[in-house]
Amino acid sequence: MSRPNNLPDYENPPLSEVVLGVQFVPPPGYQQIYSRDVWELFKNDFSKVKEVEALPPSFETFGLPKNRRSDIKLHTGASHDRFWFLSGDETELIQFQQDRLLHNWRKLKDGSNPYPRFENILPKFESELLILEEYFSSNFSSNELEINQCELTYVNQIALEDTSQPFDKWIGIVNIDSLEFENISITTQKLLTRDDEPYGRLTCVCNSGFDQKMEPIIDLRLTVRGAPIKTNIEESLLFLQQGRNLIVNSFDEITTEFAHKKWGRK
Amino acid sequence: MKPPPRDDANQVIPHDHPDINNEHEVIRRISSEQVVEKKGKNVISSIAYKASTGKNGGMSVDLKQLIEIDGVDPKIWVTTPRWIGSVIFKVSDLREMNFMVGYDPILAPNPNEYHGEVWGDFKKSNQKKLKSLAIWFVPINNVDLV
Amino acid sequence: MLGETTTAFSDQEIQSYSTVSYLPENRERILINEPGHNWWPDIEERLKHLINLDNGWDGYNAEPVSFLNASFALRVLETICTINTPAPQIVPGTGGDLQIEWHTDTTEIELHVIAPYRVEAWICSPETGTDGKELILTNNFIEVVRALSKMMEHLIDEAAAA
Repeated sequence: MSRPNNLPDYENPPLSEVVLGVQFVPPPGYQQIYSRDVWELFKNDFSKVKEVEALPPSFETFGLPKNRRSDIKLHTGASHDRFWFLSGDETELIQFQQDRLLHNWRKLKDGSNPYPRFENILPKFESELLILEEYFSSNFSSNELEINQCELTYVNQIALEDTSQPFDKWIGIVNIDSLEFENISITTQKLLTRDDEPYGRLTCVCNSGFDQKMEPIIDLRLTVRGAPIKTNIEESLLFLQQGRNLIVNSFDEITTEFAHKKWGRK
Repeated sequence: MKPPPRDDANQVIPHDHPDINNEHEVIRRISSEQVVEKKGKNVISSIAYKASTGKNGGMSVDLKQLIEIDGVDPKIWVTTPRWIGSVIFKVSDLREMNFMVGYDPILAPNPNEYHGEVWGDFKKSNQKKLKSLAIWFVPINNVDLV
Repeated sequence: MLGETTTAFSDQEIQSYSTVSYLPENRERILINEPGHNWWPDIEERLKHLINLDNGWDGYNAEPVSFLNASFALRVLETICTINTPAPQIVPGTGGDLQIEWHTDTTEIELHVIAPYRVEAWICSPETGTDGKELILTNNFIEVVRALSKMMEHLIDEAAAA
């Protein structure tokens, strides 16, 4: 797989984490007890395990211009945890629960691990999906993974040069010029359409804050989430590729020329 | 009753059973979970007159004549082990709507040797027609049919 | 909130203080009146009840409503209901599916959630005529939003006429 030629590119993008993920229908008969088997599938490269709270099902639906969230959390008597299978150096992890598989990459605090590029992460995720699909197919009455949602998130942590530096030197979403905001918190959502029908959203979340060294940063997260054209792995990977293009183009539009120079835009 | 046709996975295939005559009747159990309020009355939801969403799904029924042949009281049969209401249809009415009425005995998890299925197109107009044809067999208190 | 986070390593917790939402291009008027009854707790109870039904609850071999379908139904309700939408009724199907229903003097709306992104909708109103309109919906529920808005207009008209 090669990177599209016309996609903006940077020598040192402020990327701190990338998440590729799919949501699928749990195969009939699967229960949490089998998660040990799933870890065995990936244990060679992901030898550490952590248990965290499960992600609730997620769906991009379209209707009212501004959807409310009900704060309702449904649960049955038994619930499946989310498992993190971490690589030895903890720069990558697989997240697994009965209806999700995700692959995360992160930048270490000392910056010693350069971003491996989407073109190298996607084949890994594809391999993980195929391995999981084969496992479900061999052990449960399931043929293909039935994927109903895909998501891709890029997390950028933009280091400000000092606390007095105005945000709009880096972020061009809002022309806030001479207004000296102490903090910013902006969320935007853009509808994604295919043949005039909505299929997903591009969400941009931008917050000011501080990193662990108490240095001022802007946390800029871009997520594409939606349904693939078909529920199979092939179409899901295509969705993620298209999502990457959308995110990178949006990132380029949202950030300023000043920022681009700092990051070595090619 | 002749055994029903089955596929390779031993699942009953939709069929119109030759031993189920047009003069026969089928009983459809109705749970109070499927009762809704409509214009000040309690009525049976249209979902009660739809096929199951599984593979080869049909509308579950009990075959009344088969129950009676075994000397069992159908009203007791369809309300055991729990109290549930039920409506009754004539097989002739169902077949006139191009539904198939078949035999599908259940062995597990809840055995029912008198279980049958109604297969066909449960489009809205047919659901409405089924609603109009249904007659209470074991009524649910304070619930109307339409 | 925009949903649970799937990031694992990033330090910052995201708090959304403001939301700029996409508006439909044709800018249709969606009827929103003074605040109505908060029926969300009742919906929560009903969905929890349905996903905890016993197997065979229908007297045959019905399954409880699936967690996935209940979650999707909840998301659909969040997408289509305004603060003044009357409470829906929710009934189980036999294969883990469920149906969301509204019945008023003028309008009937039924959304049969068969699976996430598989909804068979039926709308019967003065606008559709007595046969109603059947729709297969996946993720776009704007027609249901319109039907609910019209339903509320009729309710208001009836209340005014009474």
